[in-house]
Amino acid sequence: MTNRIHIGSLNGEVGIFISQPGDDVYAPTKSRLLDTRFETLDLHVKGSVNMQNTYYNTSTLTATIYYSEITFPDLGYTPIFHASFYNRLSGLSDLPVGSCFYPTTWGQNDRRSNMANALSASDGQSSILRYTGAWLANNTTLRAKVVILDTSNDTNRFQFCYMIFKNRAA
Amino acid sequence: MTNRIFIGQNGNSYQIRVSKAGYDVTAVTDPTQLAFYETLSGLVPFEQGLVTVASSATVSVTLTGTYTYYPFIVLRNNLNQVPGNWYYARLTLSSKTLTFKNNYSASMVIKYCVFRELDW
Repeated sequence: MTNRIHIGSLNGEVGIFISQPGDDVYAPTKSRLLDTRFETLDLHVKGSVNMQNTYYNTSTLTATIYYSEITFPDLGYTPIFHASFYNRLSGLSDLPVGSCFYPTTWGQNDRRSNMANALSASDGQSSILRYTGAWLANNTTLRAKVVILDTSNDTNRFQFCYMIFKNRAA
Repeated sequence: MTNRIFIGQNGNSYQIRVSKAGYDVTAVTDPTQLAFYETLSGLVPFEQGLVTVASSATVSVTLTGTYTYYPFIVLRNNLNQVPGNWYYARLTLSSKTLTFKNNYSASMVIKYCVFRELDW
């Protein structure tokens, strides 16, 4: 019978090791089911929200800005997070999501160099999605923003999906 | 020598824990000092696969799982490139079609892992 579980020191590393069915934990041919030498992403908070939107229509730019803010329990440090956006209108999600950025303003339009670049940028989307981004404002606040260059001003167009892990980012 | 592994009853709770090197498993003050513990909520891929995509080409696969919501998906390729301009994927949730696009100048093998953590 194949050895599948080892608890203790193995090749100089202390931990718990479990191999996949049929695989020898001491000579695995596949990645182990559990190998405590490596850090595992540990989920802290997850969820999804409809993004609010605001509409801009000026002589130089027409855009709809979608934005969300999530608050979560403080871990006492900056955690790792993952964010994605679901476009209800097209039924599509792109991986990764456009070009991430760190705006100085939130829930407002950024019409400086970034937006100028966006007007000519190819983003792989079929239409007008230009910028998506998510960032931690502090250790308990996650913010997200999507910029679309169109006149639709649709509400509930984007859903923001997020996962915040207990692993330290900094 | 530092205690690194604990399996058993500790007060009113049953625990299985491994601390990171340099931390006593019986004296940790922060989950980040543990490599593994009984309430760790780790990510496990629900389905995964490999696709070969020629330069400037697209390849689609149909996911086999039932997803009522947009799942968490991780991409990597055999050229050690970060997903982005060189390659990316697009999920059409209604048909569960995952389409990969290779914008790079060479063929590549893309691995994808689909998780269900956001599928509830």
